[in-house]
Parts: sequence; structure tokens; C-alpha cells
Amino acid sequence: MSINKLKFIIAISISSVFVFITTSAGQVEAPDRSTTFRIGGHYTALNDYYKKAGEFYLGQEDPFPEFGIDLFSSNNSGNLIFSGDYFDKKNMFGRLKFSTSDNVKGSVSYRSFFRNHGTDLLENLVVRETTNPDANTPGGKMVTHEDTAAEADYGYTRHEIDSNIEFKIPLDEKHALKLMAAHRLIIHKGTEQKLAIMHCSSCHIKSQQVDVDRETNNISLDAQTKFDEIELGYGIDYSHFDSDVKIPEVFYDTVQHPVNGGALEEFDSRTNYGGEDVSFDREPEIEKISHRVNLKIPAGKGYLAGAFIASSVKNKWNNLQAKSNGGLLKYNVRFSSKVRLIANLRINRIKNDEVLIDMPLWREGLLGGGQDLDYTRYSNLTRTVLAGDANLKYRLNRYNNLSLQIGYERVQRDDYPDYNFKNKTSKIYSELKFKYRLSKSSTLRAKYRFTNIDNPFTIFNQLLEARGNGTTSPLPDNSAVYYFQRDDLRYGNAANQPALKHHLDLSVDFKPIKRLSLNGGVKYTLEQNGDLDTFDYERTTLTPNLSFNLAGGPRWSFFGGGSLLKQTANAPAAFAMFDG
Amino acid sequence: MANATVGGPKHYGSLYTTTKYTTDVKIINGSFMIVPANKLAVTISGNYSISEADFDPVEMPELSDSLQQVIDEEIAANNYDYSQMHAYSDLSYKRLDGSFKLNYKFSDRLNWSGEVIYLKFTDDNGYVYGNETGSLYIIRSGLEFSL
Repeated sequence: MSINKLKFIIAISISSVFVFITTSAGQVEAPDRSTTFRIGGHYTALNDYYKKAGEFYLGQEDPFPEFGIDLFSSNNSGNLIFSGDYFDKKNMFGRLKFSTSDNVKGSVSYRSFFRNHGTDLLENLVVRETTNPDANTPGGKMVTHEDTAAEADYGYTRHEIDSNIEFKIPLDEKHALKLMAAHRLIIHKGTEQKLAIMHCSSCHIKSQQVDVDRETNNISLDAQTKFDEIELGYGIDYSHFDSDVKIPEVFYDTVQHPVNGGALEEFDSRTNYGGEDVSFDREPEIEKISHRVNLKIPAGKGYLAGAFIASSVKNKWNNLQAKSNGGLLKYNVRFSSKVRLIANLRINRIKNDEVLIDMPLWREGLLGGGQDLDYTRYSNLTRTVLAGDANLKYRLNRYNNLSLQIGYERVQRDDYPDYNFKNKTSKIYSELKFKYRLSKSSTLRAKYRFTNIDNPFTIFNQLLEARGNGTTSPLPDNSAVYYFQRDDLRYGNAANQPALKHHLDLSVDFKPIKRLSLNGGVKYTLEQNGDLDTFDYERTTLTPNLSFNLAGGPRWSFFGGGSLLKQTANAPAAFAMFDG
Repeated sequence: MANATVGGPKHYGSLYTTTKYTTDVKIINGSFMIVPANKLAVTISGNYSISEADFDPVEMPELSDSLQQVIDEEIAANNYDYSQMHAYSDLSYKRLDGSFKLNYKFSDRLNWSGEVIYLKFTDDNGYVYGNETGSLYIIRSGLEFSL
């Protein structure tokens, strides 16, 4: 669907709403009405760097008028509510809600705000080698940066228009068909900073200002009905994202020896781009379609609910596509007034297209060169997910309850770390949760969750490099060793995912006097992974919190709170030592 | 671990250790509302946070004497120095969002409200965006009337 068609649909939808409102208003007799106007203004003063403190403010020291209006109209056949506020030219809000009897209701809203973006000064990207550290003699290899728009003031305005309408169509005296349609339009307009990194590695970083003009459309249509105790529904979602700006271009440096500027042919034959204008950071045009079917039926003392979701997302620029098919099953049964079981089963299959990376021949035309380095990049997203859990809830009495949950999840990644390797992560977890009334004025809530993960997501054989002055895969007719051949000598696994996780959550509500309520709690999480061949990963997270609410009666109230977060994690630091 | 088979640039393996990264966030917030006179309401509210994050110093293990000697002789110009590395990602921010609001009710149909909003961000270390310390205040005033 083209954007113009979408705009047409939006325009028709909004027009229909206003026609409906006008028509309805004309039929109103002695309605209940109220109108409130607001008028005023504001002035902003800025000090130093305002973009972080006022990230979501316009950042102009001009005075701005403010105005707003609330309208309410209601009678026996329905009601109409409008609310709108203007803060400044890039920050405003309006919403129109309407309903007629029980059969039609809907709303249209608009919201905009400005977001300031800082400028990456690139000042950390300045390095130059020294050929003699004692004499501080500069060498020729260096990292440099260049900002082509150093005075740029980055930021964009976000506009969002939401529309939805719901019709209730009676099928007979007892049953009805509910039809729902919704549309959301999100637009970003402004400017942003983009970086191009060039040369043989990342030795020259060039910054430039580019426009932002992004548009996202989401449309959903739903039909739901209920026949006695059977519920049936179908929905379709459509999303489209596109950017309507010129693709940025940058002149990629001529590839040459970093010190003496020579060996043009040698260096040029090892890189993809050099001495030419190159498009970069192109934004994709994305289209996504999803279908949903859901069914809920009675089953014994409970009900069984299921859903099937099929979706596909496509980058229309290069025709790459990801498809997902999944099903959910939920069984909710009440064994007695005190005991309930909720069980869930979920399966999902995702297939993401592989990409052929088409490279120019390595050192084409040079002695020992001409290697074809094309390869296929398979996606880690291609996977099968199987998950299930059961939650048994026991209500001890009016104030106290207890629940026990156990669950299992398995993720099988078809092509990770390499094609058809079928890397698999399995997770088993259990959770005990209870609520206990300590006294008439205090209640304790506690939760403990234990998770054991077999083979958590890991980056294999990349962390370290073995000692040695060569390669395991020499090139024919070539005794030199190039950086890409050093990959063979890499080893060591790294991960920041736990194999074992403990999570504890405690909180107490306390009401010492009628007008004062207190809440305090603490959460603690310990995550560990001792399965790596390089280091033992550990992360701890501690978050205590305390809050109070003091209601002094009709004339005053006071509430406040505080929280802390302390997280500590270890991480590897590894450097390849080499002369190059 | 693979073994190299032919000559090439001089590589001496990886120097390797682990270090810790700590994130520390403290937040307090509150709101006080009082009606000192029948037609006047005063609301004071605020939120203050201190956020810090840093690495422990990177302390590499001692190399064997023979490897250290080779490195000193052949690639000493690379000057492996990690003493300042942990400070590269030090972050330290403070943020205050405060508001003082008055509301005066002239009648059931007419209200006046005035508000001062103060926002202050303090950047103690600076990062790639430079020092982001700054503040702004907004003075608002308006009338609301109902029909």
C-alpha cells in the first residue's frame, strides 16, 4: 500500500468522524454540555548546555502563548469529548472522543513534541603513533576525525496521530459482532548527525548533518464475536516504515599506505571503496503484515484459549524477508474456590533470509591475489522457540495466598554459530510467590525465582588470539599473512548471559496510622556463568526502595520516595599484542 | 587453539584480564500539596537523581620473563599502558526536575494558575557529547474559564 493511499484513508477516516459528529450534534436535544477555555503563556530561560536538561523542550528563549480547550457534550444517544492544548509550535496535543449509544465509539488524537539531540564531538577519536616514545617522535599512522557541520543543532519533532473506531453489530438478541479499526501515524522531522567510518580500518571518521523525514503507519482491523461461552476473533495488522530523505553520500578517502601515501594499487586492491563518493547509512523501507486468529472455549472447570499468529516483515529495498509462525495455548482451570491452575504452551518458528555478501576479489591482479571472499551471512534470528509453564495458585484465606510456577523454554538457532550448527539454549525456571498479612496494618509480599540455563547465548572463539607469526591457511603463491587470516588463530568464548540466576523480591506495605501508608522493598538478582573457557561471568543487581503517602485531609497531602540501584558486573579486557 | 604454520607479522597472543563495571543510581522524589486559603492551592514537587558508572582499573597479569623480553625488544613502541583505560567510560550525572505551582480560584468558573519549572543537569565527567551541564527554567501563567 502506498503512502498516498494511506494518507487518503486517514483523511477519509477523520472526515467521517467529523461528519458523524456534526450530524450527531444536530440531532441533540437539551444535551449536557460544558466548555472550558485556557489561555496564557510561558517564557523559557536557558543556561549553558540546555539540550540534556531540556531534552524534550523546544529550547528557545522566546515567550510563547499557550491555549487550550475542553468540550463535553452528552445526551441519551451518545457523547462527544474534545480536549486540546497548545504549548509551543512543536509541542501540542488534541483528542476527540465520541460514542453513540453502545454501538459506535471512537477517537482521534494528535500529539507532537520536539527532541533535542546532542552532537558527538568526536574528540575522543584523535590518536597518532609515535615511532620513538622517548623522543615523542610522531609517526604516520593516525586516527583523525572531521565534522562537516560543527555548528549544527540536531533534533527532530515527533508527530503522532492515532485514530480508532469500534462498531458493535447485533447478530441476534444475545450475540454481537464487534468490528474494530485502528490507525497510527508517526512522523519524525528534523536533522541528525551521521558518521561515516572509512580507510582500511576506522582511521578517518567523517560527520555530516542529514535531514530526518521518517514515517511509520500502522493499521489494524479486528473482528471479535462471542457465542455463549465460545469466543472467536480474527485480526490483521499492517505496518509500513519509510524515510523520505536523500541517501547521504561521503567521499571515501583514497586508499594508500598510511605513512608514505604510496602503494596505491596494493592498498586499493584490499578495500571495497576508495577515492569515490559512496552512499552510506541508507534507511530501509520496511513492510510488515500479521494475521491473528484467536479462540476461547470452555473446558471442564475452566477454559482453553488458543491463538495463531503468522507474520512477515520485508525490507522492500533489498527484498530480504523474515517470516514468523507461532501458536499459543492457555488452559485456565479452577479446581476449587481456593485452587487455580494456569498452564501456557508457546511455539514459534522464525525464518530470516540469508544474505550473500558480494566482495570484490582480494588483491585482484596482484601476485598471490585474486581470492574470492564472497560468503553467505546466515541469521541468528532463524530459530525455533518452544516454551511452556504451569502456575498453581492457592488462596489460603481472604488475605493470604501462595503460588508456585515452573517453566521451560528452548531456543534452537539453526545457523549459529555457523550454517546448520543448531545451537540450542534451554532454560528451566521455578518461582515461589506469596502474600502474607502480618497484621491488620501490614502485608508482606515475597517472590523467589530460580533459573537454570543450559548453553546461554555465547560468542564463540572470538575473544583471544593465539601466539604465532603466521596463519593456518596460507594463500597460494603468497607468503605474506593478512589480518583476515588471523581469524583462524582466535579462540576463547565470551558471554554476558547467565547460566544460573537467582532473583529475590521482598516488599512490605505498612499503615501505622489512618493517614499514613508506607511501602518498602528490596530486589536482589545474582547472575552467574561458570561455563565459559575464559572467565567466570557474574552480575549482581540490588534495588531497595522506600515510599510514603501522608494524606493530611482536604487541605494538604505529602508523598515521596526514594530508590537505589547498584549493579556490578565483570567483563573481559583483551588486547592482541602484535607488530602491525 | 590453532598453530600458525608460516611466517608473517609478529604476533604475541592476547594480553587478557577481567575488570568490574559498576552502575550506581540514587533517586528521591516527592510532592507536597497544600491549600493555605480557601481559594489558593500550592503544589511543590521534585525529582533528584545521581547516576554514576565506572570500571575498576585494568590490571594485566605479569608476562613470562621470556615473552616480556621479546615484546620489549620487538614491539615496545606499542607502549601497552592500561593505567587510564578504566576512566574512559566514567559517567557521573545529577539531574533535578522541580516545580512550584500556584492555583487561585476566583470563582467556580474562573481559575488562575502560575508555575515555575526548573530543570538542571550536571555532567561531572563529560562524554562524547562534551560537558552537558546546563539548566533551564520555565515560567508559566494562565487563566482557565468555564462556560
